[in-house]
Amino acid sequence: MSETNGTRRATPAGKTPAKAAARRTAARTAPRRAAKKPGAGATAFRGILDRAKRLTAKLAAGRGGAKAPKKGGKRRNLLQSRFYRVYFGLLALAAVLIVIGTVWLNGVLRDYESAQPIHVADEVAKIFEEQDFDRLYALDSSAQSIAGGDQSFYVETMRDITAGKEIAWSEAFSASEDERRYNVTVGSDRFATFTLVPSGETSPRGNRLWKLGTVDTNVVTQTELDETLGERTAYRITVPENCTVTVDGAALTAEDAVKTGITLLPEDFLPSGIDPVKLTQYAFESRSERPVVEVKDASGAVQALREDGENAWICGPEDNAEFREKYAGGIAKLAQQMAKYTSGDVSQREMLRSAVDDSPAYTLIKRFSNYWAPTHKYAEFKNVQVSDCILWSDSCFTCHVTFDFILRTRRGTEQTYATAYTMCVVRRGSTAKLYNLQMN
Amino acid sequence: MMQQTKSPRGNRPEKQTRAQVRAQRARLKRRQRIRRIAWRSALSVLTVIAVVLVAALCAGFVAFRGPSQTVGDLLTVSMLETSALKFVPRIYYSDAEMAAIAARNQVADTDSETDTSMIVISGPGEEKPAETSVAAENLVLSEDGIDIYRVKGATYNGFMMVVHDPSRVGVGVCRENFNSKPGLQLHEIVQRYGAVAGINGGGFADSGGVGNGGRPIGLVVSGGKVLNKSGASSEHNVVAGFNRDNVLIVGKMTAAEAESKGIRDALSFGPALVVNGEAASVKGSSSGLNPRTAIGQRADGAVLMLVIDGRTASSLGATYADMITVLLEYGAVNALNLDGGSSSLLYYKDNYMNKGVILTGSRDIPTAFVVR
Repeated sequence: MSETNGTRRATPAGKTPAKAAARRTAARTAPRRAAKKPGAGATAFRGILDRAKRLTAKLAAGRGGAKAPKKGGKRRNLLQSRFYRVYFGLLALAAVLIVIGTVWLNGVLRDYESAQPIHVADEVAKIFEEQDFDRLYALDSSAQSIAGGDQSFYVETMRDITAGKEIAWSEAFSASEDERRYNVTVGSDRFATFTLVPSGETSPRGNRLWKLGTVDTNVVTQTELDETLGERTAYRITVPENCTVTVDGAALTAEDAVKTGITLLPEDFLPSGIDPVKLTQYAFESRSERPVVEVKDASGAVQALREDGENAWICGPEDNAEFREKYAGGIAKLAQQMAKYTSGDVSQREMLRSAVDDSPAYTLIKRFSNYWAPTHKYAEFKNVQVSDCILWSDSCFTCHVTFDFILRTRRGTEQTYATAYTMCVVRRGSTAKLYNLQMN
Repeated sequence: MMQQTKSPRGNRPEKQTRAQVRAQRARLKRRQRIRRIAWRSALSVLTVIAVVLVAALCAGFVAFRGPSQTVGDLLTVSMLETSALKFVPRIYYSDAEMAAIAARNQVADTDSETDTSMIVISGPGEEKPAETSVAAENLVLSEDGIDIYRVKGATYNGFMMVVHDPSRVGVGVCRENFNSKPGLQLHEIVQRYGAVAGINGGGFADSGGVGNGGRPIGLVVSGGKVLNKSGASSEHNVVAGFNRDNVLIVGKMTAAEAESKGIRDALSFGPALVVNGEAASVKGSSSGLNPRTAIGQRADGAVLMLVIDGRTASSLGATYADMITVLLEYGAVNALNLDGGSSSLLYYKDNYMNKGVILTGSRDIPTAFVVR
């Protein structure tokens, strides 16, 4: 056995390089054989060999030779040790878990913070701090009802109140979990209160989100406004339901409507095919002496208004004065004929000739009983008036006729009956016939 | 066969038998193995501790200094209110930062004076039902003029004791002359006065959380006598005190003012939570989550004693805002916060109704509100 001498292993004695090369070539080309398992003898021989090597190394070290590198050996043992492999593995795992946990916790807290109502409150508070009173006017529920459309007055008043003073805000107590309440102060006085309510949405991690609920300023009072700008007057306006109404430039909304579906005539009074217009009545208040009111129909055409009492207007079907004057005589005659029929002075057959066949008036005439009228010598009419002649179409109109129906009995006494008819008259050919009649 | 081995003293070989060498090696190996096991065990334990510490520090950093100011503030004020955990926020915040956090999470002081006309105490036989929104199912017991309700919130559990006759409520003390001797436990104070119930009272010197409960802080009036005023008689204390008409007065007063107002029993702590039916103004979370005690009075004169558990998994604690909510729900017109933390206890007829923080029971305290 050759000693290791720190140099490359020398060519074994008796072997030439050429023979060594030939042996290598043979080894490459020769078919590979399965490696034999070392037998017991070989294992024992190797063990003896290793022990001898160690002993030799120890002896060499004892003689002051080069010492085996202890450090390298210990490092090799450390990494090969199962304990340290597990130890460092678990340490690495713990480090990874800490990092993951920290990142996860950061995400949870970020989501939680983003859902806090304080941030929404901050945004709302900025409106006060920046004195954006135009925007505040739109949010302030008390301003809408108190200022009554006087935004400029509202803004000016707010600016006067807050000028030169510190605006601060703080959370106020709220008994409800579903509400956060905040007070805004100007100087030392409470200026406004706003609330936040759940918006109904949640953050990605399920935290409740908030939105602005209400804003109330308790600064501008009705009395102050009335004293400064004058009393407000209540007005009413009645218009067809498809029309829009603007008062001093501001449109009235459905909230201003006090009555809807108003009809001038009873239902089904007009012949089929003719729709009676339905009206809507609005109520509003204004400080102006004469508020500028404009009504436009669906096509945008401005409609005429007429007075309908004190501080009230109406826009809709109206009395056609020209038509009325032209046909008042005929209308009155028809009405008087009907009155005479009711008193038995006109036969049913004659009366039916004045009515449209199978119309409601026809049916009324057929069924009418004139037992109410006392026996009389003659009938006469006084104070006949025709009014509210409304043309619903070229061939149909309604009107209102009033008169005193006087029956004089044989004894000379007079019975006066105040009579009022609402009549619907249609044109049939060249004649006008009664379609519907309401006795009032 | 003899084998030469090296002597540790040099190159002089000593003659040893093979058996001796083997035995020596075996002993060496055993010793090495024991050392190795001990070292590895110690390394494992130290590593676990270090990992836990690092994880806690990282979690704490994210909680205190992370994206949520709300959580950071809540944790900070909660821990600053304790004695044992005060140091934790200091790891992450400077003193100035902690002061800023405390300033934006507090209950504002009130200068309002208690309007005694708002309290109308019914005479015997004239009791009328108080206006509260409390559900009857919360009632735990009702006897002898005392009702105890269970109180529950999102982060807390507790009890509300309602004493219908305010004349039964007074201040109990561990001794008339406060000194360096330890205080008494709550049940001892209650028994000292022959009372049936009690709650812990005002604050006391508690440096490092290990105070012996012997010295109260602030004004203490019991049985019409001023027993402690912690300073000059003109020093303002935030007080809850019953006058001779059995009306609970809440607010700042000096010892001299207490005497002039005819205060018969009073303790100090604060802040005032409800004054004249109005909730105190709160900032932020108002305070941390901790066990708390409060005393209040309804418009019909009934005394409200509220105790909230905290620092447990089932009950983290309550903030001042939570206390205000509960007190108003029970109809409080005036109410004051009392000492909390490990002192918060409600005692009724030989039993502590709430859990308390200290495992061994009540800590020593100098004062309590007792119900005779």
